[in-house]
Amino acid sequence: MNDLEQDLRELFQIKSRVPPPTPRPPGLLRRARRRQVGTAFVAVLGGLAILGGAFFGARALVTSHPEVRPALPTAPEGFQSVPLPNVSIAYPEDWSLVADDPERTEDRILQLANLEFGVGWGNCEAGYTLPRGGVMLEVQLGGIQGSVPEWPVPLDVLPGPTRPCGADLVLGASWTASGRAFSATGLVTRDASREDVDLMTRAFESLTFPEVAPQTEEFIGHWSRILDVADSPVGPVVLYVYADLDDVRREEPSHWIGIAGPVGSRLAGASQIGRDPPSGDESITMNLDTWGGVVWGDVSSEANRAQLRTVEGFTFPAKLISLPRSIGVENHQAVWGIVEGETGDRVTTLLYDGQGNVLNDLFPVGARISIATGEDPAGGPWELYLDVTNDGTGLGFAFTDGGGGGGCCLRPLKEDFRLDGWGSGGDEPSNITALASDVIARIVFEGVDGTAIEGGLHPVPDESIGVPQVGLVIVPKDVPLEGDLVAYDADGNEVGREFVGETSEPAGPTPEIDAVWQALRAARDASARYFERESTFTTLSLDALVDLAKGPVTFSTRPEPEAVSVFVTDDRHLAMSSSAITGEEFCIAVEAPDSPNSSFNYRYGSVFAQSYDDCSGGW
Amino acid sequence: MDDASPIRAPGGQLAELYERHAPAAARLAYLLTGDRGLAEDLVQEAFVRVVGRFRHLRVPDAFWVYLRRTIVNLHTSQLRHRRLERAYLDREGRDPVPDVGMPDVGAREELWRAILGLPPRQRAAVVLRFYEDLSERETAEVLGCSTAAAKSLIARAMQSLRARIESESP
Repeated sequence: MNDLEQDLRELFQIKSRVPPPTPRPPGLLRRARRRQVGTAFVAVLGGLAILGGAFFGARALVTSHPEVRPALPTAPEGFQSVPLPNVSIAYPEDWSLVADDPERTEDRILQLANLEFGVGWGNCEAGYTLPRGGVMLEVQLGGIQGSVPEWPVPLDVLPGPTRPCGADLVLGASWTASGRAFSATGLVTRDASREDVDLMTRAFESLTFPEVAPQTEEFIGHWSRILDVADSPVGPVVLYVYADLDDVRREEPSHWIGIAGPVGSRLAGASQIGRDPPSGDESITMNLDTWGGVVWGDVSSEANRAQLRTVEGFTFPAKLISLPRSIGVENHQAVWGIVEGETGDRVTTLLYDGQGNVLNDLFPVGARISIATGEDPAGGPWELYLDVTNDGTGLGFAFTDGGGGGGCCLRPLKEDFRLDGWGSGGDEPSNITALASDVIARIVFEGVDGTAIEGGLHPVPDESIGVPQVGLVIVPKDVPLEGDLVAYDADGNEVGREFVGETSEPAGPTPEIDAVWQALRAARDASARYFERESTFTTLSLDALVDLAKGPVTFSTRPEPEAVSVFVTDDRHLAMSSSAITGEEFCIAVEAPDSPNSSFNYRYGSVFAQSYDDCSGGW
Repeated sequence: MDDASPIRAPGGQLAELYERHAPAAARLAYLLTGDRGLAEDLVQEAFVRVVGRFRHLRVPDAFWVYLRRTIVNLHTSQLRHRRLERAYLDREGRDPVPDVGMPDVGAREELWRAILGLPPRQRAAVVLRFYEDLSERETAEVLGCSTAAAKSLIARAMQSLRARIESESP
């Protein structure tokens, strides 16, 4: 053991002699118990559930029901077909469907309406009145006393003065199916459109009854608003949201997102929606089995795109779904997806914002994924690959017997062609890599000395990255690495051209703006030098920046034209802002690398940003 | 895993779990944050998260393993940055909390300042390796990264610490 290690051990022993934490803070155990009750509730009904992101695990009781695939009615265009425990229904996609627990809702098993439901909505006995234009269908277990016909039956107009929920027209039916009695009520207001009444009737006519009920695992909560349905290798799985009405009676209502698969599938459980929107995927729940599994949970509404990635490196699509406004939870949304194939105990939900920035703190580390291999006469064997790191997936190139490297992180390609980067040095040939859409059929490096070198295009094996192809050009050592990388389509038309080689950054559009840009760039480079020396921005001072700055730059602790103000966001992020004497404001957001293989990321903005996140808009 | 003697985390044993693990958790959290108030916040949040998600713990020691991992994850996550740093800022306006550790002198204090200046994941790696005495593989598991990445974090941290100490030596 060396001296520093010994010093560290001694120091930690001394520093760890902090007094014990304060006796249990008030409410701590109450918080823990409440959370535990929720989990237990899930666990009793759920199958094998792995809860809470990357590192929490819980096993739950397994249902003893044999596996049965629910019977689903065919969904016409604009409809979706959903299995509930006692019945399946095809209904208009933009309507609200609620699965009710008949034991807690006086035998009601579903409510369907052309308007948004609220918590506990539709209780006519409690004085609820349908709004104008509203139509609603309710289906109950049990029926009218006496002999009732077998399903199918029509929904007939009921005579009499009864006007539940203030409906102007009441429809009704009773029937038996699979040996059980059912009844339905259709409520129509005076202003309802004929089209909506027809849609309700079609939904009613689509009702399909299982031979044995329940046909699904249980929906947790006695009022479950359906969000989506998806097919899986074990049958259809339903995603829903509900408010825990037991909690509603307490000071803090709780809201949950749950799933229910076919009975016997062990796909059941719910994940609580936290008070604050999650920053990443920390509120994701997984239910994994040997065939794959379902991943779902609550994420910030900031997320614009999501995908699932297993520890083995496989990716699957994930869907983001807005939560109904009536749930009363803002700035959250649901995410879910199906994983196929057995995986380890961890699936990461990768989240991206509207600009393609990753919201997760950490990516799962995975094995290097080879895109292409080859052999160059001068450089020898080479490999073009994807590097799956904690920071994201980067593109890399290396000569097997020599050097190489890559950057991080790839983002979906929005254009047809983009230069990724180039590498040169040592005795090996240089390499140029570019990202290309399927439109690109040929890629050529045109050197300033007139040399033209053909490159190769290689498909990227991971489609979820959003980069269809990678272009690679290997440039011999004796050819100057300065020229244009040109992309052509299959007809020989030039689609894109990017300069390759050392080049200065562009000048500002006016002398006043150029002065600000130069100052910010000098400050940016000084901050990078500081981080390379200190590995943190936390201790950054203006004096240190002044010492490290190469070029004319004035730093200031208050906004003033052409002086740079620095705002440290955290140990790896800062923003630098300034303004021109003509009033225009600019900023550079700096993200320092978190691993030896990654590099600095800079974002340019046209605001006076005071934090890393605030700097946006480009120059 | 030993299935023979499950213990139950919930119910009346919550208090017992807290009393048993909170001191060690507080020490770890303090070494990660360098701030007693932040450390307490971290421990409480981690405790709620772990307890809330476990109905049965079949191996008593597993609770500490998960609690430790949760503390480290919370420390390195944005949750720490957003929530705990807010809490820290709130506290800044109040009287400072005295550091009740042993008096620090000279080089030891320099080393402590250098550790607190490390990026969170590097700091966590060093604390797990040299305070919790975890192997590189175990450190990687807690940090949720590969063993190679954990080794790299530790190496970079040690390099930074050495450079810092050497630069401040007379």
